[in-house]
Amino acid sequence: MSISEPNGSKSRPPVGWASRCFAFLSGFPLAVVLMLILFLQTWLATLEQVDYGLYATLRKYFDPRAWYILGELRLPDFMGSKALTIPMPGGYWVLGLFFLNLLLGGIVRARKGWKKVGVLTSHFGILLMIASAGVTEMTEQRGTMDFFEGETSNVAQDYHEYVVEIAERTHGKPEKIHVIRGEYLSDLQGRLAPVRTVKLPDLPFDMQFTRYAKNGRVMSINEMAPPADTQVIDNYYIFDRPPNKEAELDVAACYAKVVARDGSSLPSFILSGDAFHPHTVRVGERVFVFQMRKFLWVMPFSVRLDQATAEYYPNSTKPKRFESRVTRLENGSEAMVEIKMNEPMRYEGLTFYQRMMGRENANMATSRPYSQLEVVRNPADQWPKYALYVVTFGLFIHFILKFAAYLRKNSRPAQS
Amino acid sequence: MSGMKPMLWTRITASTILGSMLVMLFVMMVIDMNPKSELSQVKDYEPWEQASVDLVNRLPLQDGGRVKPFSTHAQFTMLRMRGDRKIKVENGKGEIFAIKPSEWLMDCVFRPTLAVQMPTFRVDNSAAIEAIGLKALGRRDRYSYQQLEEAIPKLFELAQSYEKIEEKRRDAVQKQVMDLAYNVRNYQFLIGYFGFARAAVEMKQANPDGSSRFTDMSTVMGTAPMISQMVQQSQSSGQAIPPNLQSLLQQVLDGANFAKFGLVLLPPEDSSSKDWRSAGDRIMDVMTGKVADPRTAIEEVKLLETAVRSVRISQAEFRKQFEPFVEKIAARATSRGEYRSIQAENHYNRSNYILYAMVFFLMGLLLAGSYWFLKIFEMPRWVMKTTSRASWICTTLGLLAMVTAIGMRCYIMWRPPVGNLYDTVIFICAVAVLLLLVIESFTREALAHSLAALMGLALVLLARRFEVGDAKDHMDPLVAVLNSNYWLTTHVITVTMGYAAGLLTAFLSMTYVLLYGLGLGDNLKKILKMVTTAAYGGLCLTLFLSLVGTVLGGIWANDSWGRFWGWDPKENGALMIVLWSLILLHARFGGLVKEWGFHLGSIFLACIVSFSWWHVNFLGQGLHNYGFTSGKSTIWYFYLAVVLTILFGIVLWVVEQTRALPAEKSKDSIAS
Repeated sequence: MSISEPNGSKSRPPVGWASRCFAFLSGFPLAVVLMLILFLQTWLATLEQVDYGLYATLRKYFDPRAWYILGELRLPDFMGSKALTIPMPGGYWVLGLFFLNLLLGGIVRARKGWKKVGVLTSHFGILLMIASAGVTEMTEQRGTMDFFEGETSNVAQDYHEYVVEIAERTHGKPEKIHVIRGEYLSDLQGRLAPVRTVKLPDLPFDMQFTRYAKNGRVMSINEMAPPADTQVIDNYYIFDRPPNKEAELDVAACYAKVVARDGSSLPSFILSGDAFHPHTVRVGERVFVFQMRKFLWVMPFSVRLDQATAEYYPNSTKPKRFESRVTRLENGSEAMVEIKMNEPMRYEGLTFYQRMMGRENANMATSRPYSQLEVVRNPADQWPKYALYVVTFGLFIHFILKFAAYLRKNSRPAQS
Repeated sequence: MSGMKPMLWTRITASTILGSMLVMLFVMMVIDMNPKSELSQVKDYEPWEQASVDLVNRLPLQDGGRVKPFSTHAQFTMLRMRGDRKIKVENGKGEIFAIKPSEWLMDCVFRPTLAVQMPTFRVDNSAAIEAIGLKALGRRDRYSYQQLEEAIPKLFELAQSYEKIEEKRRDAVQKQVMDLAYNVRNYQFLIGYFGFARAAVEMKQANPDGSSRFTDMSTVMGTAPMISQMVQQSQSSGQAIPPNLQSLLQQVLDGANFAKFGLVLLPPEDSSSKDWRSAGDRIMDVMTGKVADPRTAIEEVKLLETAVRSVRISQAEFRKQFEPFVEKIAARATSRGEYRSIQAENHYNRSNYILYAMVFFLMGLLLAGSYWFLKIFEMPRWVMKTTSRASWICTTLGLLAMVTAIGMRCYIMWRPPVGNLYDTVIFICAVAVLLLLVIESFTREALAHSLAALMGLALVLLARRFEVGDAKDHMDPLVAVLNSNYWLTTHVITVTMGYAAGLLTAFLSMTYVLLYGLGLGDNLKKILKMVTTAAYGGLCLTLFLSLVGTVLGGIWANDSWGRFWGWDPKENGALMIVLWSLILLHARFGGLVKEWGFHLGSIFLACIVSFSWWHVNFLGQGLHNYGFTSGKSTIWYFYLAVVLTILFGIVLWVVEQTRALPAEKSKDSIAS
């Protein structure tokens, strides 16, 4: 186990631009620099989330659209609490380049042989881990399912995404719901945002949106005068609030307008996630309701909450056990499952976790208990576990071989 | 490693750094062993006999969500209020006694007139005392209940108003006032707990001549159905409750209220019920007709009354009267399966293995210091060998004491050894010392076990200081999400061992720099090579444990709430350790750094481990946040010490390089 003979310095200098490029991308220097940047970003993101919240910080550091970022380091009180700005490349791209570097340097270029089997295996495991993070980032869907004992549900409410729902009101109730996803609107931020028209071929009109606030409050002009150039509708306007540290508390709002097929438009109105009632518009003889709400995604089966148990340690408020006994209902068949802390229910690509427990009101004797489950759809859900097995195996083999070599080397003089 | 001849200034600097570390340890130890404990006068104080203390310690009670012995409850209650585990009193006759936690709590509940004279309340900010209208004794001082008594209404009034201020916005004085109010309130529950037993209940106009009759609470409890009937009769006839009955009920209510908190020492008879009851609860259970058969409750209260009153007679009488109660409670707790570890915990509290470990590590360190001293002056080989062996034995005994303490804690808590920050400190201490002793078995240079003694002593002191500062019972059960023996065994232990390996590695590299600076001994080159090899092995181990532990944590998080990576500060800290280890290893393999660069980077690992292990708790974010804020500034001193060592290392490296250059040049000129 000696470190006196590094092997990196012994490699032959590459010739030709392709070889040089390969050598650069697969080299130790790039690996070390990328890991240093990732180290710095992890540290700064840890500190910044205290001030800006987790969601906003992660969006800042690991947004695929950000080629570079300005990290912020707030100095401690005794150094004047100043904030230093540190420019660096975007974390998403650093991680991508690191993946490439590891693939080329740690697998393709690395020396092969039984002595290197541990290193190669652990490199492969790390690649799998980064890949699982990428798949998770791109495909993961996450929401919550709330229900009282005895209730059944087959929808989960998204954590962050607000959508516009349009439903035609027939026979006194909304039917044929159309959804405009938040991703079509979320870039319409700021007072100078463009106008966006969303075509709705199944409906007798299209929708036009002029501005979207990620965390907006519908404010009366009597309460506070609006800033210049702000659109005011019926004495109300959207006031932009700073994002919450817990991003799921943000409430979206937008200005919307119905545009009829003949090009005529009805008056603009405001849609907000915390409106008490949906907005109603009559188009010809038909009545439509519009509302903004968190996106609901439908699952291929239903879940009924049979019993919600919240147990606390005796004479204390310290939680001991949260457990939901549920029945999974699918195509007429029923299956009973217990969902506990650390023991989720995995089924058909969805995972249900115990998140919260509570009661309808403070009266413990009469109020109904409810349970909130977190529902996650992530194809790479179990990949980190497999990656861990691979990495552990690889590192274990590598270090055992190194240690054995050290022991052999040290025992030689004694034998002689 | 050319040009290894040390210069005077490098020796002075290295000695200063090493000396400062040892002095700091010594100061910490002196503070730990002799906390500020002024002698205070408690007139006519009579110490508790050991037999009385042993008897009371056998009593189980429920607190913090678990059943624990009286001794543990006493220890942490005293730590919370007073900030240490000992009070020295003088009884007015020149006799001095050291009162320990169990005796202090026994005084509070059984002899409150003596207890109120003891300086129980630690106040770190004298402005808080002035704010409640009293004259402060010192900037940081301790006050008795008697001294605070007149200002208590003002104290509660201020605390109530500060409660409305958001916790983060409260200033130091406001925090201190609130802490003091909280402690005084809890103290009042303790000193008033057996008020129902000390004072008789007055039954007005109970005698035929219209005079009052005095009786016990237990007797009143026996008449509960009759009292209830009388109250119902009054209410059904539309008349007010008679004044004598009203007075009786008020006395019962007062007695029950004072005995409601403080000591929850009565296991319920119903085996399905997990919540133990206090004496006050039992009184109210009977008086409100909640229990079908009140006989047991009445008997328990009767036993308590007799025992409490017997304190005035003699301690022998107290033991005679209190023993049946203890036996009864212990038997019921045993039948409920809740007395399993009470005796073991009493043994743990009494034996104080952590203190023994500290003493052994100190002896090991002193002997190791002697060994190196003897080595410098080239004393006879057998003397050095004996000293070194003795140091090794002491350090090993220290490790055994630590392992025994950890093992006992596991048995008492019935869970794996690490579940909170305190657990991590003692576990890291044991792992680091063990690893260094393993290194010693390979190297046999006496260096690794010397470092083991030093590191063991430093970490034991940290554990003891943290326990006093935090003043929480660290054996209390864990919250639901953490309560998984599988994950506590795998993820938590692996990550904690990773911290131990990381600190050990950094420590070895610091040793490299300091040894180089000191330049002692003939075989310095060999020792430095050995340190480098050990540090390299340590770094590999750090990487392995931290990586596996971190990913295991991710898998646990994925099973708990569906996020493999939640960017929790603690997770990020562990990732930083992994990244830094990878950076160092790859930089070394890639030839980007050599031996010096490796060691300087490795020393910086100490900062990263400290950030991950300790500093993230101050951020107030994430699941792993333990919520304490004390000792914030100390960590900056630690960072400073590490950075200074790195700077010193850089200077040594530069000096070595500049010395090496002329040598290279002269070689070249000879060659040409």
